[in-house]
Amino acid sequence: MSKSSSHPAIGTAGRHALFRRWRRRVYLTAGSLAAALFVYSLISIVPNRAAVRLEGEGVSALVASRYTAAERAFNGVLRLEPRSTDARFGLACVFALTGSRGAALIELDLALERGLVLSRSGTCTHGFVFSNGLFVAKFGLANSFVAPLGAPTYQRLLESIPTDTPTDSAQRLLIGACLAFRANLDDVGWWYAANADAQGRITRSTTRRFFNCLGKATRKRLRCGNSLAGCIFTRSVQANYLRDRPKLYPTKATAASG
Amino acid sequence: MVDHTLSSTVARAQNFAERNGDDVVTTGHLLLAVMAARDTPWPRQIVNRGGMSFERALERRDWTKLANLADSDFSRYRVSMRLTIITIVASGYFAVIRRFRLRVEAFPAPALDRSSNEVVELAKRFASSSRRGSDAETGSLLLALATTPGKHLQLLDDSNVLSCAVRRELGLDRWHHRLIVRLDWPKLVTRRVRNWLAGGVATHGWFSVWGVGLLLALTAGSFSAFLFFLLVVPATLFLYLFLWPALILFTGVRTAVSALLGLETRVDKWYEIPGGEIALAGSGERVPARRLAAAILLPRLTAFVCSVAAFVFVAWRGQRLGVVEFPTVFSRLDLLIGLHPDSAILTPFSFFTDALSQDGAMKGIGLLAGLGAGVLSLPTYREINLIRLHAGYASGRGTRLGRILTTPAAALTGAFACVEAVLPLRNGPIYLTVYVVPLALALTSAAAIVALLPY
Repeated sequence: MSKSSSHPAIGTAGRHALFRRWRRRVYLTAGSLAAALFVYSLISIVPNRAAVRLEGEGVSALVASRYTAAERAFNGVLRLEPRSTDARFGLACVFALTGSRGAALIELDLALERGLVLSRSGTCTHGFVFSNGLFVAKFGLANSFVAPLGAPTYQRLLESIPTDTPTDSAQRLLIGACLAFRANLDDVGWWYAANADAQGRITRSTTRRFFNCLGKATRKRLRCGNSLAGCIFTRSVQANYLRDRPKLYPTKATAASG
Repeated sequence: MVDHTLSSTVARAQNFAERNGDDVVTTGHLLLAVMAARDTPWPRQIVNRGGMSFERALERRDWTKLANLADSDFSRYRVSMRLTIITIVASGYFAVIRRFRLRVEAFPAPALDRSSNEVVELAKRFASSSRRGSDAETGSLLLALATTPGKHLQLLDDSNVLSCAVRRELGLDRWHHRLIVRLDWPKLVTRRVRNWLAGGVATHGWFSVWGVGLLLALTAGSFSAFLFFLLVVPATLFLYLFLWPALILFTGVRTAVSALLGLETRVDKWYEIPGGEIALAGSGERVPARRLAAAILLPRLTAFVCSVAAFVFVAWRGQRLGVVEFPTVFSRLDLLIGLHPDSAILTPFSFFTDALSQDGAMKGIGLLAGLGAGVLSLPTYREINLIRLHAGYASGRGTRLGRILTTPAAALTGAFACVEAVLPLRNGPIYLTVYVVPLALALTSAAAIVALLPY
């Protein structure tokens, strides 16, 4: 744009000064608004004193095994601060310790969705530690996986992105097999294990990790020796799978079904 | 043989000011006078270090009255004998007239303004200690100009590198000057190739091999600039989305501080660096070094304090009640540490949406403004250099305390700038860059404060 096209009464310097003045006003107005919002947000996130007191009372009651009082206190916290993950975790502990595992898992799931990090959340007291027995990897807040204690490779696999190689797929399928066998879902476990075997990449170390994952009790139940063929790929387990397969996977063909 | 003493260069600057109708000789006129000293190596030195040629500088300053001087020193252009005679006669005529005027009317030459006087004094000091021969005074003037703040620096790309290169030529360099010059070699090679091609084009014309070569070089330059634009600008707009509230807050603080200190400033490179960097605007008059330092450092300090305050309140609520400010981001380590293939895009949006969904739009934006301000609390390398330049450290002036404080700061910000340039190329997540340093400091301070809070 040529300079002569502007109003002749206002020189270049004048136009620049006018622009700078307006720019300063805009910056100051926007900055003041942001500062006001900042102060407002700080004031509004000051923790509720009553909620903090109730939280403390809930923890004390949990330690003292007064589960009803603890539940009441944690519910009180949630009424004042619905996003409190500590209160949700406390409720999960209360329910788990009183045997309501379904309710415990629901509370735990809600707490996880609100950003609870299990490894940092401490214990439920009474020797019950969620994070030791339960590893939760949340991808897209959609799926929860449970991996057993002492299986760091599996935890890593759950955290990492699949590489889609036969070895990686075999290991991931064996996680499913392990979890299913531990949950007494032998037919599902056989299906996972058979699919893993179909990848053709099960090494001795993979097998050893799988057996570690199964744990002593499950291995004893399955009468496992040193190889998968001795306990997993048996005719009885296969027969169980084939019997239940139409109910479990009504339409989908599997590698294991051949 | 053209005279290249300091007085003749100053006289040339006075001549430029007179022809342009200016009342005083500024540092801009002095720099143009150095640029016009074509039979010395200094104009080439300026161009090689990214500065402007005399012609470009005239275009930049819009000094149309001096445009007829632009090509006068180019010996490679041949003119006809007729025009040569006309030029000689005309210049003789104007020389006689000018002499007559000076004698009869006592036409006053424009005087040097305060900054120019300081520059000339400084140039004399440099020249007295220089080990170079005949053209040392012009080089000393260039060195003085490159190490003096003012609007004339707009004609030089990086006055820091240029001053080191001139020091080297004058024999006034030390190891750190040599290091800076050495680090500039890739740019130097590129500029030399371009200037070599441009010289060939001037001799052989565009319809030659030189023309094709220059066209290719210019195309490559434009292409890389376009790529840079495509990468950096959308990155700032979208990938630093969660920093926008902080940016708005910081800009307001910066403007308020500058206004309170009576300085006119503007923000450069906002599209490249989160928060951009401050630059002086206005008349180009020299500003007191302490005020300038305050204008640069006070907003940065305020940003850090805002960040600590925000972290204190967030950590307070988080520690006492377990309210997590960014639940999605912290439950997905693959996003936070950049394992997810799309983490560069998803993570900023997750930060933004988490803050808004957890506390509502108004509070979320307010908190983001405070938390993100920590990222903006580091001064840039150029800002620290601006402080050093105005305090006169490059020319051996300034206070000892200022020197002690700004030298490590300059080294640190320079190192940060290097890390910042390298990390994205190594697929490092943008959150693990140098900006994490002030954030970590703010978080540590906040944790200590939270432990002291009443409940």
